[in-house]
Amino acid sequence: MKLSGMSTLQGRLTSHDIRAVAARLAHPEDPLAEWHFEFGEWRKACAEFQQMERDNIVAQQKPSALALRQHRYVLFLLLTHGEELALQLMQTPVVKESEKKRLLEQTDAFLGTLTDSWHTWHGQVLPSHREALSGFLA
Amino acid sequence: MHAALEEIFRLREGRDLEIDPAVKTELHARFHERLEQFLREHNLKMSHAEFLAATREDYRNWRRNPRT
Repeated sequence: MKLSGMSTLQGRLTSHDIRAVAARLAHPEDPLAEWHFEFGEWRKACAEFQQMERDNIVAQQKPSALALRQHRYVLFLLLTHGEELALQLMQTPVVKESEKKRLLEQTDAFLGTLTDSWHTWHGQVLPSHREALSGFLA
Repeated sequence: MHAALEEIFRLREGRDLEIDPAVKTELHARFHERLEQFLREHNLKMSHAEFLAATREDYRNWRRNPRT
């Protein structure tokens, strides 16, 4: 057996890993205990992303190419992880459908916020749309 | 700036900065409902995504100086 990739045997668990295990063990009766932990961590990352966006994009007269690319990179990471959380939730058995629906709506609100950020800062601006809105922007 | 656009920007900022999942869900729905209402009322032929891209610089300026 190759052990080099087994971080648990080499003492390489991160604090995040340990907290996820603790969450699962603290609530053994809850099939979503670890999911809730991950959801909370993801939401914290989303909040940090908002701070990054405010400092590096909003506050800048002209954001640098590096800042825009970093913004896009973190956006993709957060979107991917959020979709993973949604998929895990949908595929978790023994959870009431109403509870899944509630949590999916919450996950989608964060995903929607991230998607709106994508369209805002990386979407294509069409002159015809600017013209249509010009009377409201003056 | 038109009062409706400023309202939309405020709803968007509030939604973006909210971290409570239940409140954010409500604010997210409210923001997109208000944006849809604005586009329909003024017969503006564009998607929400296209609106967000088209108002990028205005939103940035408003965030930098919300009272103007």
